[in-house]
Amino acid sequence: MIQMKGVEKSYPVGAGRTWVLRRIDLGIREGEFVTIMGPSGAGKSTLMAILGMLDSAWEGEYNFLEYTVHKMKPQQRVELHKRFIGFVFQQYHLLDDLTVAENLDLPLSYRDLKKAERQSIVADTLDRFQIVAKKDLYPSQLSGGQQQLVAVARAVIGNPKLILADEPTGSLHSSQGKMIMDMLKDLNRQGTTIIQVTHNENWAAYGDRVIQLLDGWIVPTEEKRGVAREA
Amino acid sequence: MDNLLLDFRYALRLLRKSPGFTLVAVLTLGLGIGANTTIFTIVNAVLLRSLPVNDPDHLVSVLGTDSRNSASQQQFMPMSYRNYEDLRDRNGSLSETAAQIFTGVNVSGKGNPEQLNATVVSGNYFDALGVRALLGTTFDREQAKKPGGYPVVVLSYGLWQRRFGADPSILGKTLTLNQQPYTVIGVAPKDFQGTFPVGFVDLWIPDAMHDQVLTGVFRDWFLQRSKRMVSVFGRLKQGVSLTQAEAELKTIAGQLAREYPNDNEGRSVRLVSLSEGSLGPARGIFVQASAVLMGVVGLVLLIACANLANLLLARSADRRRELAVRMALGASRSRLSALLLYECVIISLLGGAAGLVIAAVARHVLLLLRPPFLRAGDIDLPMDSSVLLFTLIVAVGTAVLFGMMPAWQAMRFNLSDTIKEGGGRSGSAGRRRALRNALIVTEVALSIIALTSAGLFLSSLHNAQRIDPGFESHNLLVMTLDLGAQNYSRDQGEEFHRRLRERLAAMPQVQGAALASDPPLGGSIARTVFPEGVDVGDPRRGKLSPVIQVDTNYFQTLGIPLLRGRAFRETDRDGAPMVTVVNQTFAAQFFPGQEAIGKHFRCLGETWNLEVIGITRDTKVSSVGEDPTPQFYLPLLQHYSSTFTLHVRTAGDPMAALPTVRSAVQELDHQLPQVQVRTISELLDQALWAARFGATLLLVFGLLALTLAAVGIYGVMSYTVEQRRQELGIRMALGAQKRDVLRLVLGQGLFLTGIGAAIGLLAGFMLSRGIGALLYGIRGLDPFTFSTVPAVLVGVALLACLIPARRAARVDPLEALRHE
Ligand SMILES: Nc1ncnc2c1ncn2[C@@H]1O[C@H](COP(=O)(O)OP(=O)(O)O)[C@@H](O)[C@H]1O
Ligand SMILES: [Mg+2]
Repeated sequence: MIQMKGVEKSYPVGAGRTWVLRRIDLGIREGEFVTIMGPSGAGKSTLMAILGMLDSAWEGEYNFLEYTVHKMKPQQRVELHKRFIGFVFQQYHLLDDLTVAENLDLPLSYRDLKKAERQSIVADTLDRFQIVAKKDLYPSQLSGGQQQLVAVARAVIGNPKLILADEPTGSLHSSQGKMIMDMLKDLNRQGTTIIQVTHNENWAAYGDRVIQLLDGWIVPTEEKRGVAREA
Repeated sequence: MDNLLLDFRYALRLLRKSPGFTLVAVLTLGLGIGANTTIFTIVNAVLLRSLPVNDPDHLVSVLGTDSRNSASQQQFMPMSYRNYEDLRDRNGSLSETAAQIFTGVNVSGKGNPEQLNATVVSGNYFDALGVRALLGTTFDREQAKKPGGYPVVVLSYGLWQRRFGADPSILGKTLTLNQQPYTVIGVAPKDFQGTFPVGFVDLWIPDAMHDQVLTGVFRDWFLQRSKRMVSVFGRLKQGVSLTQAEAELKTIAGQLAREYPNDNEGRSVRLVSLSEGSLGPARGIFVQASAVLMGVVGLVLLIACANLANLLLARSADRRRELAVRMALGASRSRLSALLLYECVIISLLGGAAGLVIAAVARHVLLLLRPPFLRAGDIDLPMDSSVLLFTLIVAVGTAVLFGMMPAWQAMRFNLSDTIKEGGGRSGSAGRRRALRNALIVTEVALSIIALTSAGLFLSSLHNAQRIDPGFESHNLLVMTLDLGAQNYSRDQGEEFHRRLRERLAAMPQVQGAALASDPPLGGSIARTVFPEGVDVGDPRRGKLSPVIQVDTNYFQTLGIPLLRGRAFRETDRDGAPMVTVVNQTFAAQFFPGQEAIGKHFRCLGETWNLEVIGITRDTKVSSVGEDPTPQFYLPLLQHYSSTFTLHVRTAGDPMAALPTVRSAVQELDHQLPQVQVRTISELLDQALWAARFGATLLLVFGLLALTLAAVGIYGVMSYTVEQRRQELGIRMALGAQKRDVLRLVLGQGLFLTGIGAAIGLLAGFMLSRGIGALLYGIRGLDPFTFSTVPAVLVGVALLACLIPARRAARVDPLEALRHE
């Protein structure tokens, strides 16, 4: 599903550049649950943004499904992102002024769907995540775990093939964290590919393998371990 | 007190630390205040400023009224000199009762022959006003009683400077006026321009000399009781109110009406303050126009305030943390409010100062736009203490207006709210957003109103320019010549007319020349007309109609079509039957439903029995905007006029023919001043001066309002986009594309603009009905205004939103989401 070769990312600093990602080679198959780990500032979020096609300013090769991402225009990449990818963030990033139902509707509103169609998808999703009772509440009226649950629901509502979860449990108590992780695992079992970032070894164990990032480099031993487990 | 100073200094330091904010704030406010001060300067100079005379509050105008003519402008009539004398001698309410009449006088001798504006005044004129001469003396009231025996003048300061180079030894020198020597006995003080707010008096002559200095009908009629000649004013005695004085003068006027029923039937007087009376019927229009202008600059200021409120709102949101810390350290809410208010007061005072500078510059521009009949020195727009006080009040008022809201907002936040800011849906943020939205709506509505008034006046000007004056409006040159002032007899005058026409006829550039007693649109003397069958003995049955004496070429040269009958001929002269040509409206008014040709009518005080021989199409008599006005024409050969206007029809550009026409006149009499030399298009332009001036000012202020509103919309939208960065980033991460974001921001801006525009248009429509009296030919919804204004505004609002919207579309979701 994902083939990255020599992906590099840098920011201009003064006269030179600082490298955030160096020569990233990465392969992820459909249906995998992959964990990315690494210290703060290692480039995990940057890699997630590139994987999710939120960022198109990088060098290297990236093939996603049958698409050659590095040859596509930013506009086309946004289209890919819209069709195949859902995001979950550490800070939930729900919109304060929208109700739970409206927050769920948001991604659908950017896809060409009829109003009635959207309503029924939202209703289904509320049902599936068992948050029907909360549909008219505002995010500020929910606990952190509930908010993240809504955020996960929002990420899957467009029926993505790939979910990118950047420290989804980073702001949650462990019990709430577990609920979210169980939810992700469920989604994975139903066929959705998942890439998560976490600092927590327990949550890492939910995944099939771990990719270690350090100062923008992928640490080779971990890669081997992942391959070994698959074999 | 120490605290106050401390806070004040702290506010000052804050402003100095953010010079960008301070500059924008002061400039915005300066424009708003400057516009107000500028208009106030005009209103002050014309309406409010008291005359530079002694105790102006006790001066009253004694205006003539006529129960037969209730039209408002006929309530500002002058009165006859004989009635003035009787009123003066019989009343006990006024300590002085003075009279004046304006006339042109030809000055000859050293320097160019020119016509000067003279005021012929009663001997007590300067005493009544309490004005002392700057140099020499004013008139001696005893000597002023000798008819023809007091040939002296008092010069205006302006004339003394201009024509005599401020000669310190001017006193005792002689000036030749209308061929007669006059001795200069005094120079008036610099600021004294007569009893009018807009002065153009060159010199004052005692009325003892009326027979020498007046010409034509003014000389002939000066002592006739039925002829309204002089404007009268007086000074109330101590302890006498205006109402009491009016009652007494009305009683005396009643006596005079009974004593001289033929002359005074239906006539009386009324008293108003001199400042009101001297502007005459123009005052009402001026007051209305001032109200519109003050209203529009008021809107500009409100928009400026809204912009400032928004700036401060944004700033106070940024300063919440600082305020929270201060509060946690024990500052009381009132002290915090004061701190915020100081800032506003400092900005306002700086804005007021900027406004004064702007107004001082604008004043020079206004003076350039003065009406064409005023010379540069004739009108003064002083930045006096009233202007300064007005500016100060406006500045402080605005500080309260724009400062209160943000200060109050800042006061309502609570500590815990601020500390956990960032998470959750915060109520105060919602309120601030609602407030900002309200600001956009307000600014749009206000600027629509301002633009609507500009649009209406532009439409009105456009309509006025298309009004057909009824005569040819191109290739016509006019100038006025006063032979009476050169002591021509009637025979000499008619000989002059004949030779002038001959000379002009011989010139290739000249297609025709005509003479008439008055210039086009100059207005003319009105006579009381009695159509046949109406009893001349009963003056109440007569009606006023303007009359003008014209020669045989007049209708042809001015292109006034004759509808029926014939024009005047050379044979319509003394000894022949008395004939007249009337315009359509005259015929319809005096001979309704009948054939006017062949009918006769008479005029009050004359033995004439005039036969109507022709009917012309209507022309505009004294203003372009007037309703159809009756007018009748008399042949110049039967009714000589010593002052006349020469109309020359040229083959091409009238200005090109001017030098030869001028020299033709000069060769006949090189001492004769050529006055009010104009092309007909200049004359029409002049007639539209007020309309153009109003439209220009309103357009400037309308555009200023639009600009400020655009800046305001831009500011609010930019701030909103800044506030919504994170939200926009989330939306993009969820699949929103650039055009979705663009549509979101533009949609918000245009939605608010739409609400404001709807409110503004409604108010603008009501405004257009309210000021209809000031507008030419605008009834109901003016299509130009009510289509252009919303289109322009929506276009500008779109532009103002576009930049923030595009900035929003460029938000990098990565960046926006990284805020952790
Ligand atoms: N706009 C930027 N300019 C320069 N450096 C940046 C920018 N954005 C991120 N970085 C740097 O990139 C590095 C990787 O960041 P990030 O991917 O967020 O790390 P992680 O998610 O692993 O903690 C960090 O060192 C960060 O400082
Ligand atoms: Mg990160």
